[in-house]
Formats: sequence, structure tokens, C-alpha cells
Amino acid sequence: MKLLRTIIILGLVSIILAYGIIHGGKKARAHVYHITAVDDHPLKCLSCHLSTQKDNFLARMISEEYISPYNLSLSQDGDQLYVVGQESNQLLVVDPHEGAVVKKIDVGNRPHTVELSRDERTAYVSNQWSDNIFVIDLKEARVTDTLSGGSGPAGIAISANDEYLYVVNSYSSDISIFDLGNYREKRRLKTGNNPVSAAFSPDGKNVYVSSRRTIPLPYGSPPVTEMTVTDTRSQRVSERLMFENAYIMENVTVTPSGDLAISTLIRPKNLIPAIQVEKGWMMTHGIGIIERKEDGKMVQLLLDEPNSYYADPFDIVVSTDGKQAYVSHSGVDRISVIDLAEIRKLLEESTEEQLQTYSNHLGISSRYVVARIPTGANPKGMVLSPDGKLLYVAERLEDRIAVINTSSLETEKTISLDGPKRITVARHGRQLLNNAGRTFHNQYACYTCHPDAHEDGLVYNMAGKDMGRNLANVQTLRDIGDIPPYKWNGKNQTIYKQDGMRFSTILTRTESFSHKELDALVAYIVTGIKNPPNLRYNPNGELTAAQKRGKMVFYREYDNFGNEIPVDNRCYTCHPPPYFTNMEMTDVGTLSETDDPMMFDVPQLTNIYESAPYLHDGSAPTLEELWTAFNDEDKHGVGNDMMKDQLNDLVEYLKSIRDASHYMNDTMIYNASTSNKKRKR
Amino acid sequence: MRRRGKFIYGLAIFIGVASLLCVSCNNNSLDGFIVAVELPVGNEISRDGAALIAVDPINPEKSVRLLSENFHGACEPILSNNGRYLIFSGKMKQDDPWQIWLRDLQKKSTSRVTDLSENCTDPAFLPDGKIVFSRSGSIKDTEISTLYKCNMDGSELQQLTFHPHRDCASSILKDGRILFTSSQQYPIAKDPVFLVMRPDGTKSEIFYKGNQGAFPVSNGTESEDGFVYFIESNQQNLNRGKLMVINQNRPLHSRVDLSKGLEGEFRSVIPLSDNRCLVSYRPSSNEPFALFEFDSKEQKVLAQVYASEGDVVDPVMIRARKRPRILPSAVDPENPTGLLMSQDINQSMIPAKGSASNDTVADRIQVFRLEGFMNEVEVEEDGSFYLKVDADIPIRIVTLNHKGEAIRGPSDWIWLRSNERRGCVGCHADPELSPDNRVPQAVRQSPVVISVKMKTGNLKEVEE
Repeated sequence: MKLLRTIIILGLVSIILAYGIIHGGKKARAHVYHITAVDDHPLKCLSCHLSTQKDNFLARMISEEYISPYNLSLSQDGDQLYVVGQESNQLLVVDPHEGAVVKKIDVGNRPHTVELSRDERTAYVSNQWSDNIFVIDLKEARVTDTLSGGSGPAGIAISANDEYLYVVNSYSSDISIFDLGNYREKRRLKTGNNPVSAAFSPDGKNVYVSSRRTIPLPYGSPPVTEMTVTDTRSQRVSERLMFENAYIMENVTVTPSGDLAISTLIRPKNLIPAIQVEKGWMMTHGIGIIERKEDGKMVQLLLDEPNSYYADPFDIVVSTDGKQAYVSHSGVDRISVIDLAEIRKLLEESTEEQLQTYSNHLGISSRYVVARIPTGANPKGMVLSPDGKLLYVAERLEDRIAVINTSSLETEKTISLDGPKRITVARHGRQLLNNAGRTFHNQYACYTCHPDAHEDGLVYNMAGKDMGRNLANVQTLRDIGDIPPYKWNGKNQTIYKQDGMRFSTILTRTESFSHKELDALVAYIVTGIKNPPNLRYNPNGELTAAQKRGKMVFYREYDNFGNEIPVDNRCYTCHPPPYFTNMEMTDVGTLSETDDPMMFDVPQLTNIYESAPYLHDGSAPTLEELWTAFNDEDKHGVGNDMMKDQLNDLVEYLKSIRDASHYMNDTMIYNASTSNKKRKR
Repeated sequence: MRRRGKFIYGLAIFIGVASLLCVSCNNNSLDGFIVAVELPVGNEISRDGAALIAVDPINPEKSVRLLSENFHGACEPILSNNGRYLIFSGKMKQDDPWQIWLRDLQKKSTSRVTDLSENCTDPAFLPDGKIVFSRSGSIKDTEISTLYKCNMDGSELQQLTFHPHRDCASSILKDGRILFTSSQQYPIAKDPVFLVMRPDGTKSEIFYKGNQGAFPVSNGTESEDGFVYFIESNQQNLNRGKLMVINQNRPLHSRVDLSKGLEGEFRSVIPLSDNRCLVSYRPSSNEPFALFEFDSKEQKVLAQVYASEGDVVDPVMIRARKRPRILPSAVDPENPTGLLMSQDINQSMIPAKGSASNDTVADRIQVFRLEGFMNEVEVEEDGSFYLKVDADIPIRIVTLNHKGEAIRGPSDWIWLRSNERRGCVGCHADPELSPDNRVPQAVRQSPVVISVKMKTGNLKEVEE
């Protein structure tokens, strides 16, 4: 009897378990299919639910604090290497001979560049997300002073006599000139858009400042990016040199003889229908060269080859004899070695017309690229030893420095920066996002159109159905984990679907990410991308008077004539905090002639000040145009009744909107339907 | 107890031995072997009588195994990426057409893949496990051969190339594209070149063209470090010549003659590792072709690996290797057309033809199909055009000036697959030129329809 009862109980339990497993399995499969849009993604709950945790106990348990070395500087005797730890917010002092970190100095938020004074007693570190520059006493290894200038300090250049410090402000698009005698900002000069790097000419007469984004141009124009040249004697801008069809000029240098100023750059093909990748149809990568002489030429030359591309060139350093240059390619983990003598010869013997052709020629690099040196993941800043025999390379996503022998052109050793040994799923995802290996012939990485996980400010001809239709403004990747759907037309409900099979068919045109890679990429996008603080317009949450007035406009329910604004046409209905998007599809009357009929996914407004141009097709170069040029029928909120000062205030408020974390307690709950719903402020 | 212990002990041994046997049965016992083709003595051109053999390079004389028993002829072996399957061209009887066969090296079984009335040769494995091969045919009474693909069991046969060419000798590059030799046959015959295209038949383009009358006469095989090795000749109907290598990164302008200064001729080559190749070579015309190792860095023929009385050609190393990329396909059979765009028809590296008016600026194109003239289209002011064409129909283009004088062309035959969208910088522009970053004026409006199947609206319909 007892045995029978046991058998019956076991049998019942087995049946229940079997049902649960089969039925549960079906439900799990349906759930995974909904998320990934494929029917063969492995059913691994942890690979999604664990690695996409953001701010809780589990997230803290699985995450790591990486260093992510970015830029470097080296003492004149070659005995001390100074490394900016971009994510650890540190300046690391490394003994390159022993191959060890000897000191770690805490600096500000998201440090960018380190430069040493000529007497090497002081280091200057730009803190891009703190809007300041730290002055560090190297002997005492501590911060002794703080300089404040423009917003988003990035590249630094110091005059030969240690008299002036030039700091490039990437967010306010200007350059601060600090008097190092009293540490005061003496002057601020306007530069190109989103400048990032500065370099003195060897004679000290000029500072070259390279920029990332295009200058404002009429809609539909190819990008033009400015190289700003300042005269150091007058401390004024002496020239604004325009590189046509180029952008993302990450770093600039000048040869020791001073004959050439050279910058890394990318030549995008955003205006051409994106119908293929072959033959440089989407992106090409190279250098911009300025001959520093009377009637000197200004040219662009590619570093790519017809069937192999070298995505995301970052830094460039020139050998002490001026004969060779080294370029780090962050997207393909390579250093290109360039014969500058061949470049000079090419410049001399070629006509303007020929040079114009060479700027698009994928075969020309075989004349001057002599070698490609493999590196670890995501090589960024570089510095040469004083004798030119060693090249130090920051391998950002390896947390180490590569030491390359410039004679053998091989990596001699690597120096660990004592970062975590474990590569988390999100870190792997970050490596994938930064690597061009998943596009055809390595032509571009996700990072290429989304530098710093943001957007590149360009509008692309994505050639949806026909060519020339449905132009798309690149969107930021920051904070998108919580705000589906994706794409302007909202067709992709999850990031998995956004980056899955269709992505590889239409955009990357090579084998799609594996399931494991997709999991990693999603984990990084959801958890690993931080929004910079909005120090420029809202440093501490206290709005200015204009911003407060603008906020009232944003939340208004009646127009200037006392008419009630319909609920579904109020700003906060489609753009409620914390992300300032209701994640729904809408029509705000902005369809153009080249658009197929569609509604658009409401974009988030966090840090909107740095996302120009605006609207789905980038047709609004500034926020003002949203209401002055593109809202005739008041479909994008009621705006035609506004006075100009109201509009100005509204724009000021919009520019103050910062990271969503600041608005989590300040939510408004609305439904997209016409009925008025409960509101809580 | 003792008896039970002995029993358990014996059972354990039995299970262990049986497991070992099962494991070894599942192993590919030809791992590390070389599979090659032995030709009958005196037979240099025809593959009739050719046999597939496997040889252990360590002990070649004592290890020869015949893989093509019962075949009248078997040749062109290609190994799958996982090292398990071998496909080859074969015929059971002399009068049979060549067909594609599959040998499972683990199960030691052979099955037929294609069962067509035409010769099917030059197979290769695609990265997704399908097979691409060359199928003979004719067009306009001209013999051609066309690339097709199918599953390993021969199902889902699909045509990939559509021009009047002889397409053969396929291999797969690491980037996932098919590399093949192609020579125009109609209206005039031209020397072979290497073309490359995606495995769905889209985006075909020139990969390599020989200099000074030379052309590839074998398939090209890519090494792990991105170099493509092949045999080149300057004589028609010859299947031997010089050993060449090109860099996959820049194939049109990186040709190196590895056999420079060497006596003798080459017939086949496959790259190994560490700058080594396995070649089919003969030092003089009095000797048969045999298998040798070749040092591509030193450009030297090394030790002989295997020889026979007849020629030994088409070697394959039996070992698994990294699979090339699987490229996604944009082909959609529901859409019977493709879109073709050119940025500027005056962007060309071909000199303009002499014209009576000396006006070499083209402002229109004429589109031709195999049957003749289809239509004339004016291009935009910037030289661009944007066409919607029938899928899988080869066309050629001539550019003309405003007086109707031909400036350049006809072009090579172009075809677009269903739903394919293709862009060109110009008309026979430098293939290493990337496009200018500007919106071609032609794409600001709908494409001009060039079709024999569709009504063309404002264009005259072509009569069949």
C-alpha cells in the first residue's frame, strides 16, 4: 500500500514536472522569440536577465571597474609613462621598463588627455565630464589646482616655455588659453564643431585644433569639418581650414620639421544610398594633410585598401626624424605605419585634380603604408619613446599598454594596468561595439556612426525601399535600453531585433552576430553606456530663470489665448520624464517628400542639447527650427501662438534636460489616448 | 563475490573497448591525408580516366587509397570546412555527363548530388553548407557554363550567374564571396578573369585581370593570411603555367610571379601555412606533374610529396579549417526587378572613342540585352542614372553624347538578382575608386524602368 502510494505520488509529480517543463519551455521559447525575433536563440534566462541588470545588487555583483586607458604622455627620459584611465578616473604612472604601475592618482570625471610641463614637475589632466583641468604635482602625486574654462575639456597643448596651456573644449566648441603664471583663463577662441585635439607646431607659432563634427551647413550638404589654426603670438584664430567630405578628426600632429600638419579623419558616404558596402560605399578612413607653406596643399589620403578597411583612425604620432608616422585604428586593432617621404613625394608630383581623385582612391595607400601592426582591443592614444625605438599604445579595452618595437614593427611586450582580469559580458559587448569585424571588410564599427556611444551628427540615405528615400538622422545609443521601440519608424521592438539578422542584411552585409555576441552587445548597450552630465546647461539641477519659464511652457495646458491645448498635443504627453519619451509612435507633421507614409517613434530628450540636427531626417539644424520652420500646423505641440521669448525659454529648458536618473522621482503618467489621465508631478 | 567481481571487470573492459571502437569509427581516418587526382599517362587535357586518390604525405608510397572506385572519371575534389565531406566531379561511364558527387569521409559512402543532363563540374562548398558548381549550357549557339548552387542532396537548385560567359573554377574567399574564373563567350570570346560575387549571385565584380595577355587557368585559393594563389597562362586551352599570388586586399595590383626564374610549369596550388604551398608541378615537359611543397617566401620548389606515372593534380589537404563568413542574402524572389544606379557615366578609366564631333561628354545611355537594343535613357546633369531592370537578365550599356555618338562601351554584361540594388561610381570607372559623397540627382525621382516584362510607362515597351 505504501509502495503504491509512493508510486502514485512520484507519478503525479513527474507528470506535473513534465507538463511544467514542456509548457514552460513553450512559453519561454515564445518569450525569447518576442525579444530576439528569431526562433533559435538559446533559452538561457541568465544571459539576458542577469547581464542586463543595471543598478541593483546583482549588477554590482557581476560588473567590474575597468581602467580603459585612453591617452598617454611620456617623460623626456622615457622612464615614466603617464596614462589616462578614462573609466577609472585616474592618472596612472607607469614604469615602462619594469612594466608596472607605480602610482595611481585620482582625477576628475572621464579624464581625456594628460600633458606634462616642460620641467616635468607638473601634469595637466583634462576632465571631460567635470569641465575642469587638474594641475597635478608629480612629485607629491596630488592635485594642487583646478582650472575651469569651457565645457568638455579634451585635448591639451602646452607652450614650449610653459607659459600657456591650450585646452580644447569639446562641448562648447572653443579653446581656452590659460596663463600658467596665474592659472587664469586668458582667452577663449571659437573652434570647429566638437573639437578634440590640439598640437603645437615645432616653432611654437601655431596651435592646430582638430574637430569631430561637421560645421553647420545647408541641409543635404556633405560634411565639412574645421581644422582651426591659432596664432600663438596674437592668440587669435589665424585660419579656419575646411576639410570637405570629412569628419571625426580625432587627433592632429605636426611633423618635427614643421612641414606638415596631419590629422586622422573619416570620409563618410552618408549622402549616397546605402545599398552596398563593397568598394568603400559606406565609409572610408584616412588622414588629412596640410602643407605648412605658402600656397601649401591641403589633401586627404586614404589608409584603406579595396577589400580591407581600417576603421576609426584615432591617434597619429610622427617619428623624431619625421620619416614615419603611426596611426592607431581603434576599429580594427591595427597600427598603420606610413612612409612620410612617399607622402611628400606624392604631394609634390601630383596635380590638384589627381590629389582630388586620390582622396577617394582605395589603392593609393599601397604607396605609403609600409606595414600594419596588430594590437589588442581598441588601440587609442600613442606616444613614442625619446629615441623613437619604442611605440607605446593604449589598448583601451584590454586595460594594458602595448610596447611596439619600431624596427621590427612587432609588439615586444604588454604592460598590464592591473585592471580586472575577468571580461564581463557587457565588456565583451563593448569590444564588439567598438570593433569593425562584424561589417563587410571591416569597413565601419557601430562606434563609427555612434562615437562615444552617441551619434555622429549626420543624416544617412538608408535607401529603404527605393534609393533616395527615407533619410535617417543617426540617433544616440545612450539610455536606449529602457525606451523601445527602435529605429525612427519603430519597427524593431527590442535591441536584439535591431542588431540581429535584418541589421546584417541591410547594414553590415556580413555574417550576423552570434547569439552570444548579441547577448553581449545588448548587455553593454543596456547597462554600460553612461550619459555625460549636462554641466553646460544644468550642472546641479537648479534651473535658471529662463529655464524655469521654459519648463512652464513645456508643461502648459493652455495656449496664450486661453484655449485648452488638447492632451495629445501637449509636450509632456509625448515627452514625459524620466526619459522624455512615451515610447509610442506619432505623427508630428514632419514627413517630407522623400518619406514613405509613416509615424515616428518619439525620441528621448535627455541631453538633447548635444544631438543636433533634429527630427527624423535631421532637417532641423537647431531646436528653434522645430517650431519656426517645421510646425506650421501646430502638430508638433502648439507653438504658433508663442512669442519669441517664450520659444527661447522653451529651448533653454530643453537644453537643460539631462540624464534620466535625475527625473526618476519626477514622473508624469499619461496615456497616449485622448482621455485625460491622472497626473503626478 | 569473486565471480561477480570478474564479471564487472570484464564488462568494464568490454565497454571500454567498444567505446574506443565507436569513437574510432566516427573519426575521419583520412585526417592529414592529401586527396589528389591521378590522370592516366598521356592524358593532359581530358579528365576521362582520372582517379581520386588519398595519400598520407608522411608515408606516400605505402598509403595510396583509391576513393573513386567504380567511377570512369573523378576529379576536382574540394573538402568541406569541417573536413568531413569531399565533393568532386565524376562520371560512372564514359558517355555520362560529369556530375557532382559527395563523399562522406567518415561513413566512407559516396552519393550523387546533381542529376542533370549537362556537365556539372568545378564544385565548391559554400559557408552555409550548400554547394556551388558550374553547369554547361549554351546561349545563342555559343557554349557557356553558368554557376548554380544547391543543397548537399541536390535540392533547391538555383542559378547564380546570368551572363553569356564560361564561369567555372570556384572557390570561396574568407569574406564569404565566391571567386571564380569567367570568360565572356558572346558576342565575342574574351580571356578569363577572376570575378567575385556574393553566394546569392549579387554584387559580381572584377577581382583580378592578368597583364599582357595572361589569364588565370586554375581556381584561386586564399590562404589564412589573405593571399590568393593560382596558375596563370597566356595560351588558350592550356591548363598549366606560372604560379601566381595576389593580395586579397588589393587583388588588381598586387600580382607576384612566384615561379619567376624557375624552370618547369605548375598546374595546381593550395596554400598551407607558414608561407608553404602544395603544388602540382613538373620541372620539365618530359616529366609528369607531381605534388611538391613550395616555399612562397623564398620562391623555391621544395621536396616532392607524391608522384605517379601520370599527372597528379588538384590536391586537397584533409583537415578542418575555419569557415568563411556566411553572407546574408537580400534576394527576394517576390520582387522581379533590381535597381541599378551610376553616379557619373563620364567617370571612366577607358578612353573615349573617337567621334566625329570630338564631343566626349556622354549624356545618355543605351541599354542592350542579348536580343539587342532595349532602350535609351538620358542621364541627369551630373551624369547619374537610376534604372529599374528585370532581375536575372543580362544587359550591357553604351554611353553616348548628345549627338548619339557612342563614347564608351558596350560594357561588360551586368545582371541584377531579384531585389538587388547596385551602385557604380561610373562606367568602367577605376574599380579601386570609392564614390564621391553626394546625392546622385537621378535618385531624387523614381527609377527609369527598363523591362521586357513590365509596362514601362513613358518608355516604349520592348517588343518580344
